Amino acid sequence: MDIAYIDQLANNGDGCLHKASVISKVLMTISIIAAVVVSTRIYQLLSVFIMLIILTRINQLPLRKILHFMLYPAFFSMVFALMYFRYSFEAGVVIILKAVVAAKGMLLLITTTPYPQIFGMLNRFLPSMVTDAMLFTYRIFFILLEKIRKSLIMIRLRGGFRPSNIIFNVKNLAAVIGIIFINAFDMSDRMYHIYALRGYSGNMMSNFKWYHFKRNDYMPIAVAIIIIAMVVIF
Amino acid sequence: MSHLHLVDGVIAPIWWILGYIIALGILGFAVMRVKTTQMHKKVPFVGVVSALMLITMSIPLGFLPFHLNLTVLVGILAGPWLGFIAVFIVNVILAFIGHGGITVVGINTLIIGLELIVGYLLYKTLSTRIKQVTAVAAAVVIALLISTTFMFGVVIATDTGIEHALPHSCNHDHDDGYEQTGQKEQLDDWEQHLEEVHFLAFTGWSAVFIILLLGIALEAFVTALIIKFFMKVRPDMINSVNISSRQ
Repeated sequence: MDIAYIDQLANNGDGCLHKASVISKVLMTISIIAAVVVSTRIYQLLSVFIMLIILTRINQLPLRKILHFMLYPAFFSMVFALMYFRYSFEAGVVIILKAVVAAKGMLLLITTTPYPQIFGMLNRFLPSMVTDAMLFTYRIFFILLEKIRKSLIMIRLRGGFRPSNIIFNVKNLAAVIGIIFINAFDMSDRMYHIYALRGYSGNMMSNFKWYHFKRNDYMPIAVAIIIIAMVVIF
Repeated sequence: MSHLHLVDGVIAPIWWILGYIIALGILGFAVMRVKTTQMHKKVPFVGVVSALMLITMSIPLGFLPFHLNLTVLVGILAGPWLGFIAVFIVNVILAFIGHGGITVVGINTLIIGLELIVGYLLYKTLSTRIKQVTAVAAAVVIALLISTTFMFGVVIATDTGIEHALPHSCNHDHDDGYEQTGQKEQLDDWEQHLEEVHFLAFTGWSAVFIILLLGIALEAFVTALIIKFFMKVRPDMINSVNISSRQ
């Protein structure tokens, strides 16, 4: 998974979408998902897809890498699309495009918006416990990812990996996961105490400013309107 | 293990909306249950559990066409309600990176959440009667069988095609119909999909059966080994977490 890379793109990017507020980008994403659900024609979905590719280029995001991320939904949609190809070529292509366009929309949101900002917005709709836990997940994920990477390297260096012995490897993998679980649980205790000392009382994102409208919000809102218009009118 | 790899736009809105309504209902209930105890203390714990699930999913398993979930282990350590919240969070984050559609987050949460709750309840019942390691292995096997059956049920009920429920690297070259003209035709289509699933020397139902069996066995084996490791190194962890989750 490339959560770390996506996070780096979202935090270090300097495109106009990076500067836009979360609410306008979420509205744009909702319009993309709505277009995916409603569209039944290739040209509708293709137009949305081309628009998203242009947006990716405008925002200086690595197009090749993002297209690589989209291979996953494309592969799984192809599985479904193949079922439709016998009767209609268009139906099969529509299924693939639906998956790819929706994934592209989500990726455009997540590569231009840091996770905490999205969680801040979700805080308006979900219980604060859930969104706070999302934020903790985000913070802890990178620490644990590094720990597991180092542990797996250590296991290889110390002869704990034998390509021909699966049982031996699985036993060692289980021990690594066990250690990571123990470390992580201890970490959650420490984190709670640190946050309690800082005055954490159950809502980390109550003052999060996710709704402020900026000049850069015109672009995502315009894109949202164009997408909806294209799907509804044409 | 039983993650549903459906993408956006292939399930009828009625089904994914229903999935969201039920999943959010259970999520609300889970939050209410947790609120009655010391909620603040448990928020970092849910974050840790969700991060652990995401990380175990990203560990490569060589030639095997699936990933570990360790859902039952999470259920045992965190309890059913905190575990369900963690499952929802994991599915939302996965949807953001294109690993499953955002519209099917509700359905995915229900499938994996069912696995977690069933696994937890089975472990709770069995661990008082048999050895803990045996109890956890049995709980994982039964929970995975139930959740996999539920997953196939969802796929059949929503008319999306059974090939979505098949493990990752199956061969999917086939040609079927666009119009779903009848139950018999659908069953014929599924038979064709299944015939084209290959794993090692096996094809069709036998390949699916072998892949599922291997997946379930591996998940049960790893979970049992981790519990065994905890009992050696930190036996307090299983006991204390179990006691707190039962409160």
